[in-house]
Amino acid sequence: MISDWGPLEFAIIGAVLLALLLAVGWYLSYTAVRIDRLHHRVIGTAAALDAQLVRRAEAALEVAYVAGIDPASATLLAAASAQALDHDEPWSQERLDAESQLTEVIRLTESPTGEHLVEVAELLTRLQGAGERVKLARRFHNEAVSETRQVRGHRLVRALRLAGSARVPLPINFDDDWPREA
Amino acid sequence: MRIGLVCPYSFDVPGGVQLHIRDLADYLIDRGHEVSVLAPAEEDTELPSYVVSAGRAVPVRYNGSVARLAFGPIVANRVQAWLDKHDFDLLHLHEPAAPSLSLLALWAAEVPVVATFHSSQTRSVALRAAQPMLQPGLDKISARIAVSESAHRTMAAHVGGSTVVVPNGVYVQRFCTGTDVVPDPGAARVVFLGRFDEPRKGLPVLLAALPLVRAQVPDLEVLVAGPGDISEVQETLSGQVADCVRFLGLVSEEEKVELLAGANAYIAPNTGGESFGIILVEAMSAGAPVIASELEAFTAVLGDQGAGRVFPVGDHRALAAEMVRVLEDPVEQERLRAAARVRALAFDWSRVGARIEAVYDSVAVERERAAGDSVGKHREAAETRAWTAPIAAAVSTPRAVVNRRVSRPLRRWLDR
Repeated sequence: MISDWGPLEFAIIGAVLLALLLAVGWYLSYTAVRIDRLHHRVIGTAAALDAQLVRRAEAALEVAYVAGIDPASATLLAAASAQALDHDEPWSQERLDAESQLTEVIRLTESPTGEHLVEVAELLTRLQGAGERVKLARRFHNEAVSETRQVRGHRLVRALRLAGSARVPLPINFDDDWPREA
Repeated sequence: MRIGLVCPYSFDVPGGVQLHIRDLADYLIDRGHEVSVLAPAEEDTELPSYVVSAGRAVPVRYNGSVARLAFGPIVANRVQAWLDKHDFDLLHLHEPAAPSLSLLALWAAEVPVVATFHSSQTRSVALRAAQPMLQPGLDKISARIAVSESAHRTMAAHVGGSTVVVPNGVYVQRFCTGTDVVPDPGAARVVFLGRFDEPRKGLPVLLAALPLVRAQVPDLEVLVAGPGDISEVQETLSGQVADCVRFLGLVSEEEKVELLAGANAYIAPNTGGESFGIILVEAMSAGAPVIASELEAFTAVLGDQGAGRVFPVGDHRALAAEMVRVLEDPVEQERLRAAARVRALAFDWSRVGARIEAVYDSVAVERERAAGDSVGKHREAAETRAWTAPIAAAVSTPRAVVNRRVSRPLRRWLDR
């Protein structure tokens, strides 16, 4: 059969093969670039979450020192926030535990009621704002992580190792349930 | 924070998205952020100082309606130049799926991106076809905001992903007139605002209800304000009610506030296509008793505390019944007025803006900048990163991106 083919047929087959190859190549590079972009997003959201966690711990520490809550609560709060601030490894389990613990302590040491000074009110609002931001940031980060993992999970992506040596991003989970939705 | 806002629609024509962006920019600047807005605009229009024009927009048919959009290689270059010049910490794009500036900025973006989805629509064939072009950009969006539940659903159906719902804002204070305009409780002045020749704004429903209302409220007075072809609508009025309807044409902001403040009832008979009822919030801020059709967007604005009355969409009989009930009962008017004012505060920019700021903080970190102008250095760094960074480097999640700014006494205590 093939022997009947003239140069025209070969040219057509060649062109089709070339087009197919180009299409596959384009798709692969498109996906690889996409994975890279998603990884960049994950870095960004993790950095933002980190920043908000630091801010929350600082705010909690200042509440413990300045806000005039009872000394037992203040001690708990100060200890928990100091522990949250004291981690060199980015997302070790110890750090996540410390953050969960801080959330719990903040939840238990309800903010002082009654009249406060303007500065105290300001500190409490700041702590609350930081808590809200931590919740949002963790949510956005985990969303970016799950999108990335979804794309990385495709068979073709895994088989061709399109993600290179990049580590699979992990969702960040800890108890951040404070403040509760109104 | 240095924030870049991108508006896909022409800034010189009025529209919900444009107004939202202008108000948001005002709020953010007031809060001490550095803000620049990129928007299409005609060469000779006057723009607020923080708006940068990306050139003129051309009317294009896209996804079922005509929109004025800006696109093309020259515009794309301008977007890139704007990004390079300002070196933002964060980009906030509006309607990123519209093939205009937002999409261009999204492609070029190298910093965290927040996107707001305003529209709610059901047609999605066009968007599905455009998916491969949209996806690379959508992957870059770190946080999505929808202005309402229906906008959220539209977005979820088209592009997937979850969102934070943050409603549109109103500067409630601008709609409080003080005491100079007081509605006459004995009068029966009804107000309709909006593009009245557009059927989905629902003027026909209101007009159909008028004969029924007038039969019981003889001194009924209807004021219709907004752009549209007056003579065309006037022809459709029946003789019974022709003399009680007045068309005011386009009104200024101040006139609008006065009109709303002096109303015995504000009617929003819209029949669909509303993603968010900003006009309801304005009417409520001005203290107008609201009667609105039971659209999801409207009931969401009114809340469940009785800040306004609703009737089934398109049902002119039910509307007439509600109108009679409100117009004949000054006590109920007063109650509605008070409840509406309270409810409107939930949409004040002080609240809405703070939530948007929280979203900003949760995805972007304000970068430390060396004294003087470091734009060039940052850009250079960004370029080397883009070209040389192996993907491997991309995954470790560096903690030390942020300078820990712990106050000194705390630092000392921590260092013990």
